[in-house]
Amino acid sequence: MAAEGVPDREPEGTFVLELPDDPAFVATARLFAAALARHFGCDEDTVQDVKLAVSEACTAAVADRGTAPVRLEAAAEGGALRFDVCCLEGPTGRPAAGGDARTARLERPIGPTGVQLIGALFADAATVQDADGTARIRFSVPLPELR
Amino acid sequence: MGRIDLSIASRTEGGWSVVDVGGEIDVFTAPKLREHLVGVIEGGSSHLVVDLLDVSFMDSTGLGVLVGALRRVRETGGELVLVCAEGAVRRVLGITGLDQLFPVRSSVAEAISA
Repeated sequence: MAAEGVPDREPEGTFVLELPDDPAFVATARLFAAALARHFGCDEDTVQDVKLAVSEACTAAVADRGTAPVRLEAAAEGGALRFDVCCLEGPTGRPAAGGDARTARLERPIGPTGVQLIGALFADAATVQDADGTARIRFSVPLPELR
Repeated sequence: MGRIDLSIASRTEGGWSVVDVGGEIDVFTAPKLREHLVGVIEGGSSHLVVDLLDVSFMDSTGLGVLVGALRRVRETGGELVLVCAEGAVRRVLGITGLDQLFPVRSSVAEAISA
């Protein structure tokens, strides 16, 4: 697992950034996502769109997660760069106690303006739930063909 | 790492209160902008120009602050004009349709002469 605020690259090629649930670190997530988008050849307009979508997703995660860390994952596969903003429910990644609260969060994973923005930017934007109950906001960016 | 700040300053020009903003507006910095705009409005200003030319990024939390300020000034018959160039800020206004709600100008001079 990556240290707080330190980007890591997992063996399978997934780039991971794990951050405290502090609003001050949403900017870090934007910088990380923008650097990756540029690394994979996205044009500057697309980089700005990635920053906006990641900011919206991380804002929703910070607002909803209490003290749990926010995890941003990015993976380049199938000609696209896929971003997942997932919210660890507790220090071990397992769902925290208080099922009612967790259910409410999943029913309202992100505010309407955030949904509008991410959905307008990336057509495949969606909220998914892992088997362990972790909620993810996911979207992918088509990558330019590699030269 | 990655922490950002927001610069905000107010002045009066041509009978308008001009609020110059610089930096990035997100969930961390938006409360500072909200506090400043509320202070300007509660200080008696109802005609505001918010200069966003030096804002390099703004997400929906910033939009929420601006919409709140617009609602406040219009309740008293005032107006709030945004100044921004083509780029990230103008794009988020367009995506959300808020460029139809706010008067948007390219310069402060254009805003206060309208």
